[in-house]
Order: sequence, then C-alpha cells, then structure tokens
Amino acid sequence: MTPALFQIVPTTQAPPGAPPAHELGGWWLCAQTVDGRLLGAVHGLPEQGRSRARCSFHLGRVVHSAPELGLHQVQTTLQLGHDATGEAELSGLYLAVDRMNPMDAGDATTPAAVADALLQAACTRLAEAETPASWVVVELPGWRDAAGRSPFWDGLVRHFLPPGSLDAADAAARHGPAFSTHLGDMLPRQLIHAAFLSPAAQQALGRCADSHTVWLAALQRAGFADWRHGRIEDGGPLLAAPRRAWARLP
Amino acid sequence: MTPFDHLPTDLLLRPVAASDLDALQGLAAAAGPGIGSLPDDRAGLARRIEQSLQAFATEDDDTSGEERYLFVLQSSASASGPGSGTGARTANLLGCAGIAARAGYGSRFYSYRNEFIVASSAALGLTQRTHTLHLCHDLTGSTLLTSFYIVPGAPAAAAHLLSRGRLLFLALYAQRFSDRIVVEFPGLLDAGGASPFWDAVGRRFFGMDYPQAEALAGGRSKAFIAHLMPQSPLYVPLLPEAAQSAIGQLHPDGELPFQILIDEGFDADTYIDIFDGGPSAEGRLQALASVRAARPLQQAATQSCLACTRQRDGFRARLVAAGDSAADLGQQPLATPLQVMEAA
Repeated sequence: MTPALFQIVPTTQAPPGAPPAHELGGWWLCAQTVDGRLLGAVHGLPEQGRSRARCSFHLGRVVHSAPELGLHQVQTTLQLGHDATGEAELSGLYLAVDRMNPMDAGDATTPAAVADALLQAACTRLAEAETPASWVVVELPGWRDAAGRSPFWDGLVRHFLPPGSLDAADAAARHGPAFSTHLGDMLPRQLIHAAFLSPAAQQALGRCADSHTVWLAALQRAGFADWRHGRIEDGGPLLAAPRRAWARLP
Repeated sequence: MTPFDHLPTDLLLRPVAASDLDALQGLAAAAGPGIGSLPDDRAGLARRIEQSLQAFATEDDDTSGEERYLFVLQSSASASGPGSGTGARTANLLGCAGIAARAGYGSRFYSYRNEFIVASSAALGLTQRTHTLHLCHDLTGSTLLTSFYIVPGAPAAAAHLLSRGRLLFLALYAQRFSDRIVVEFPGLLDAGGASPFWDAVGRRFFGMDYPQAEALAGGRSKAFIAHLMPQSPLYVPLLPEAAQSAIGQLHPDGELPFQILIDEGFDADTYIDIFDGGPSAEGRLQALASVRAARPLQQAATQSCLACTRQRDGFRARLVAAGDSAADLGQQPLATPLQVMEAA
C-alpha cells in the first residue's frame, strides 16, 4: 500500500502561490504534505456565472454545400456566448512543481499524482453539492509562443480593440479573472468563421498552454473531454465532465 | 472644355438586333474582367439577343419582371437608315449596355451590405467601431443596369449616350421597372488579374479562382451562392489588408461609367459585390438627374441634349446639338441636357 505522503485539505482561503479563482464563493482544496507543505490546489464552484458574465467561444461546425457544383465545405465557427453559466467549475489549478520530483515515477508526490488526487476530491464534492449544474467545466489557458504571445489574441482579439490600447498581460493582471468578462463586451456577438483567422490563430484554437499539460492529462484521466468551447482571450480549451459521474453510490 | 464640346451626333443607341451577333461577340471578346454578364460565349450571346428582342416586344400588360433588355451603340454610318433601328447588317458597334427588369428575378440577388457596429467596455475604458459586411438580398427586385461596355478610345459623350440613354428608356416605361435602380461595377484586381477580395472571402468557401466562380455564377442564378457563403456578418478587420483595401474599390475600367452614374445621383456607399467587392450603386429613378431634367426636345432646344424616341420597340437615342430638331427621332422626342449637373 502506498504511504499517505500528502492529504487533501479543504479551505475557504486561496492558498499562497495559487492563481485566483475565477469567481467569488466556492471552496478550495489543497494538497499538503504531512508536514504542511503545499503541493497543489484547486478551486471548486458549484454554479458559475452568478457573480459575473462568463464568456466563451462555442466552437461549432457549419457545412456549406452545393451538390450541383460538387462543392462541400466544412467550416469551424466561433460563437461568443455564456454557455457555461450555471455549470459547476474547477479553477485556480495549481501545482507546486518545484516541491516535487516529477522524474521519480516511484514517488507518490509527482505532479500527476497530486493533480489526480485533487481532481478526484474536488469532483466528488461537486457531485454531492446542491446545484442545478449538469457539468463540471474547466478552462485551461491557451497556447503561447516562446515570447509569451498568444496567436489567438493576435489573430482575433486585437482586431476588435483600438490599436495599441491594451496590453493583454497588463490588463489581465489589473482586472484579474473579470478581465475576460470585460473583454467579452468588445468582441463580436455574431458567428465568426475560423477560416478568417490567421493560420497561427486557427492552430492555437483549443490548444492548451504548455504550462498546463499536466493538468490536461489529469483531467482526461479523470474523464473530462473537450467541451468544444474556447477561452475568449487566448483560445484555450474548455473541458467538461458530467457532474454526477463522481456521485457515490447509496 | 467639356466632353461635349465636339458632339458625335452620328452615334445611335438602339436595341440589339439578331444581326448584331458577330459584332456583339467581338465586344464580348474585347471586354476584360468585370463584364461577367456578357461573356464571350456565342450561344449565350444569341440567347441574350433573343431575350432582349422578346423584352422589347412584350406589351406592358404582359411584363413579368423577367425581361432583359440589351442596347447597342453604333455609328449611324453603319446603320441601314433612319427608322430602321434594328436593321443594321454589319453594324460597327462601339458598345453595349443592358437592363434587367428585376434583379434576381425568380430567386434572390445577393450583395454585401456595409454596416458598422460599436463595442464598448466601461471597465476597460474602450470603445471600438468595427466595419462589417452582411450578406443580404436587399437589392432583389430592383431594376439592374448591366453589361456596360464601350470600346477604348470612344469619346466620353458616347459613354454618356450609352449609359444615360438607358435611363430615359426607364423613365419612358417606368411601369415596367422598379423605381429602385441598381448597378454593379467591377471591383479591383491585382496586376495578375486576381481579386484580393475574392481570395480572402469567396475562395475560402468556393475553393476555386475568381474567374471560374464568376463563370459559374454568370451561367446560372446567383442563388446557389447562398449554399456556400457565410450567412453571418464578415468582420472586415479579420481580412487581409489587401482585401480590406479592395472593398468598394473600382476597377479602372469602370471609372467612366461609374462617374456618369454617380453624377446622376447614384449612391455607392452601401452595397458591394459578393465576388470581387466592387461597388454596387443604387438610385431612385425619379431622383436621377437625367430623369428629373427630361422634357420634350422642343423645350430643351437651346442646349446640347441626349434625346430619344418614345417608341419602345424600335427605341433609339442619340446626341443632339443645340438647335437640332432631331426629326429622325419621330414625334416629340424626349430629351435631357448633356450637362446634367447644371440642369439638375
């Protein structure tokens, strides 16, 4: 039997070092070693969208077909909306990787193990919560290049802002998670065909940041799947799983 | 010095005749891109002539909106004589111009409509105005001026006769047409003949070159486009700069006919062609300068005029110098001053 090298501890306070929760309310779960060192954390929210509008791009498909001409085009589309409103959410995903040894597969405190344990505990809590939510949704930050630039921002978002008016990193730091709500006010309400985006922006759509690949893998192991939505600021993927999947049998 | 100081009074605008097929094909072959409604296709041109003959022959009570009229401009020296407006055997045609009674007849006529949306965020302290293009059928049912072509080097007055002569025909037989008149002008092409607008928009949905798609559209109703073009607005800032710059821009070949109709009172700010982004202009028939200034020739005899017969089948129009009674145009010709801006 694997010794209990860390434990999951609930708290209402954001642990030091963790990114902010996307909304007010909810709870935190922290993975701590027996001597109290923080290894990771996750924030759970039974029902999102109650304190602010939560925007995302729904990634759909439309088929442009003219059989008499032998033409058939399948196009990916983006539709700004608030589809995740009312669903449960996990955010504030945090792993203190500098306190773990990711290379030692025999060590139970690997990032993957900590992430797995946090997700299992958080999803179980959400499954038992009194909430109308059908899904547990997780936003992951979108891919950035080596210079830290988001091709999705450059290929879509910046075109709808006054030139030179906004630095994405500064604005995100100043406004926190609410930045995406404010940004949603500036972006198109009508359907966008992805074909009009630059190739780099199209490739970034739904692609997770390198910094979160451990979480992406853990979410997939936990049963989360692509929800066909993207973050509006960087095109990062939204993943979802049925909330009741973790409900304990009576 | 004006384009009308040396009046080419030997030019005659008349309905196309069956005997014009060879000369008309010569015009179609000489025309470059942007005259897609008159392709160099002998069988197609023969059909256009037949349609036009039927249109001119149709009695007012029998019109449906399907009528397509085609006029040709010739030197009177090549006509077979006064009163034989459709009888030229080897006409030396200088140009052609058409009218489709109802754009998109029996189907839909597609355009992009320019619109602007304004987004604002108080929290970010930002406001932004964004140019959008909306696929629409607004111009369906309007009367469409089509197929304008004039040979290079023809005097400017000839272009006025060819373009504005149609407006007098519309005024004389207004009950056959919409009071909303529309004309599409050729859009900008690059040095290689490619359309930047098409490459950025249409190609993504058609997967073929502009001339190929234009040929497809020219040979059938444009309604099939609806199956392949986005129904949602296009956000112009997402297009490449070359495509943005081409929106509403005119091919140099279209400058003279464009300016003639803008001077008439057409507005070209609202709609563009869905293929090449060229401007589509619209005007109200009764508000057009030539129509407002139209009067019996006797009342306009002190000015150089564009005058026409009042006959539908056998319609003719020509330029008339001041003091010319234009007896060849029959009883009480209708005339409008050549200097429309002054007259209006």
